Amino acid sequence: MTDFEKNTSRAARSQDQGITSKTGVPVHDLSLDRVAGGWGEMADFSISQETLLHQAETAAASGRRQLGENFRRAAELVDVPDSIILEIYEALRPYRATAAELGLLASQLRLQFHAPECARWVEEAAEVYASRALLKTAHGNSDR
Amino acid sequence: MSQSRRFAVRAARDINKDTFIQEWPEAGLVLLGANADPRPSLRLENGQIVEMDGTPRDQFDMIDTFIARHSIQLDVAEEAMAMDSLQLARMLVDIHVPRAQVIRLLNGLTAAKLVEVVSYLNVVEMMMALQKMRVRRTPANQAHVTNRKDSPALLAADAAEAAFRGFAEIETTVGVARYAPWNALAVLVGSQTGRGGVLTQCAVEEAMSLKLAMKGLTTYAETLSVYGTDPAFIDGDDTPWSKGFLASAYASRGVKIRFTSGTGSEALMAHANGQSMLYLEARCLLMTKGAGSQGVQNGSISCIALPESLPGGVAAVAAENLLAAMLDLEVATGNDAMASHSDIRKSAKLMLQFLPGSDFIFSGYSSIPKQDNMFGGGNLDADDLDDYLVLQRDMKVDGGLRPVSENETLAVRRRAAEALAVVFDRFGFPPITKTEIDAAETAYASPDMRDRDMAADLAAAERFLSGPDTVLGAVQALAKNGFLDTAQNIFEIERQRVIGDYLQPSAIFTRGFEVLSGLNDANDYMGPGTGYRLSGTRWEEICNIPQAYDPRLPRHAASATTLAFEECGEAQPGIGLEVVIAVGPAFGTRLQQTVNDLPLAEVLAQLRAGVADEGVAVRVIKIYRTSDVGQISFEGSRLSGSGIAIGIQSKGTTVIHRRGLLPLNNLELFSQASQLSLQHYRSIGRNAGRYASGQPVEPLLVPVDNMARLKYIVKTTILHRHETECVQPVRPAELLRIKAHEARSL
Repeated sequence: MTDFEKNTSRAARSQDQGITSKTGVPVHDLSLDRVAGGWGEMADFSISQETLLHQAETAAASGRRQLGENFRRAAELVDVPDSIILEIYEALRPYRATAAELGLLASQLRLQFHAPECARWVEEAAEVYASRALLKTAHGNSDR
Repeated sequence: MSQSRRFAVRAARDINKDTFIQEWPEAGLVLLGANADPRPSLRLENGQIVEMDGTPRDQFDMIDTFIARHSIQLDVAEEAMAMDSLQLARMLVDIHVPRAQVIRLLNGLTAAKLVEVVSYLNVVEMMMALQKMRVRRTPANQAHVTNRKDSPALLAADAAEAAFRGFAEIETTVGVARYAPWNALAVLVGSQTGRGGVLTQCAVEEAMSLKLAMKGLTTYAETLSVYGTDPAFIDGDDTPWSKGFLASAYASRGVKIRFTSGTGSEALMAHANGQSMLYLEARCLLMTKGAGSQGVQNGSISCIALPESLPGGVAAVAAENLLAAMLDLEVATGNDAMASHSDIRKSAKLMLQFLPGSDFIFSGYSSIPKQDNMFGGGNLDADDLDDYLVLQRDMKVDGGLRPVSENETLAVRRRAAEALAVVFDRFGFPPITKTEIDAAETAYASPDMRDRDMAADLAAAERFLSGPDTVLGAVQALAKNGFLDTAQNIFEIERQRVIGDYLQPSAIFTRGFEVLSGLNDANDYMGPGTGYRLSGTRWEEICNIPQAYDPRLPRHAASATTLAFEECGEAQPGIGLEVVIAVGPAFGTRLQQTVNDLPLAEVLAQLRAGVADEGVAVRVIKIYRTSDVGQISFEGSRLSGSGIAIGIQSKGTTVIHRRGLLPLNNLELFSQASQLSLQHYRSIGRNAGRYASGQPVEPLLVPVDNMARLKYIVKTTILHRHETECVQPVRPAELLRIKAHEARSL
């Protein structure tokens, strides 16, 4: 109806590239009938690491290096539980964590979740926070 | 001192409710060129930035460090920084330089250099540049849907209407924070009832926002705010690294994000470091880019009245939108918060984004009345929708919306409220009653909705948030209860999270759930004949506002009296004391009413009665050879026994003429037919009678209305066209016998 509906014939979509959900369900097998019948949980509708890496490559190939890097970090976070994600986010806010606590989270990301890019992100933050006095001090008082 | 009454009137105008101040650069109250703004510079050593905008690396603050590490494309930086800023500015508006070529160079610029480049552009050039540099070829729009009572049925109905009207994204928020999961659910169900594929979000605190996304209730987030100085950022309780991590976290759940920034926020927080608003915004945008956000909403957003208080504020806000596009970021270009009391000023400001088009012209058009806008916004709101639709049609500009009919809108609103009621039932929430559905269908705003039991509602919302139910339960309930379309659309939204194509820059979904993004709908503007052009069915859609009628069809009020008459052969010259009333060729046949909706039967009766009041005889003749009022009366006077004739066109324009005067001369001309009442026609008849019998005549004065031309020119044109179509050039004037029609006593 609108131009943007017509334009879609030009779309280079991913639909037909054998995508599976985080739980390994092919995207073709996701159907309303199955969901209406009670099948599935949110994980079946979650993006997989492979798909995010594919999106990262696509972004980088279109000249969007940082977007690609973000998608690569996202790929690493696919298997990190919601609660830990919220915990890391909280720790990265100003004055929330000591250098040691951030170091521990970085190690956890690297070793437990095989998330080296995210680990580096946290380590880089820790280094900057140290030089800009944004860490929680050892005795737990914030500088604010 | 004496006082001017004109100054007094202007002082009371809306524009003078706005606040205007002079620049105060030390407080950051300046758009451009503060003394503390650095000069552009960049020095690399061993592939690392060792100096940026005059600051050596060991003096970098937190933001400098982030930008130096993540934001600037080093392999092009030296080449780009060495270029003349004026040359780069010219490339922005040069239709022979492709967008991609400029983007490559801009990727290597520092904040100070980016600002130097845009400072060469005037506001028209900024618009040209935005047209060329925005990411997505097809412009779109975002709606705000909220209400003061957090009424779920009203949220669903309003989201459905917004989706139906064409908004590609809908943002909601909460009055009471704990309503967040309900509001997100209501807007999701509503939007997918109105039009499948609309992206939705609920603006709440970051951790809650992430939870909603994880539960499948939202598809995007844009509350990731960044600030241009360290202390402002830290007051915002975040850092570039925490925001960057959040960006990755959302993407890991298949959720689209954009950052938020805007001129004025640092000055508002008293942390502007004496630097200009635009320079600080450039830093924000570089951080946004460095963190890997696909886009940003900017354009001062909630601070808009602050830059607008300063010289050059509106132009600078356009510049900040442009800066985002120059960094290859999707940009939702503000226009959301209250920017002025003056409608003139609001409209003028809007044109800077509306005319060039942007990825989202509003980062929240208040599709609900501003009293219900919980973002404190509503610069344009539900009451202004018809104005906005007319602007699209006037300018031939795609503002992302489409005209809708009242009937269809009511149907879609009702269906959305009903769908949400089914979902509430499924989750065991306190029910949405039939009365609420009825109210949501036709409501103006939340006072039309009943007060719900907030304590019970909030308890249910909290149970939902912490419990196992997800959006999939809603899909099931909708599919089982006859809401297959809505179920299918929500299901498809969730399936798209698995695919992730809509994480790419500037992505929206079409009605058929196709992604349109910077990848498959890349902006290819290169001057006239290229880029997005409004044409075809979309242009037709924009043209067909419901108020527009077919001018080919004469419009009669249903109860209009028709003129009853007989034609009695060719009119002959008369003798004795008579006045001829000469009517136009469509009079009483194709046309039955004047431009002013007076029935021609009544008008003619009054003219005749007026002549008779003076004891003078009347003949009515119909002129076929012309539709011109001067010629009609001229012809009448030739045939009149007294030489006096009244000429009248069907649209009501009337002349009193005397034989011997030139056709375009007259005794009295009543050209503003819209101002004539039946009383006036009676008086015109009397005056004609007095001219015929040689009595003194006081010419009739008709009030002049300066709005008459505006109000009636279209109708006048149409009526005159109809009359002219009835002209028969060689047919002589016809004598008419009017069937009895009593002139009403006036």
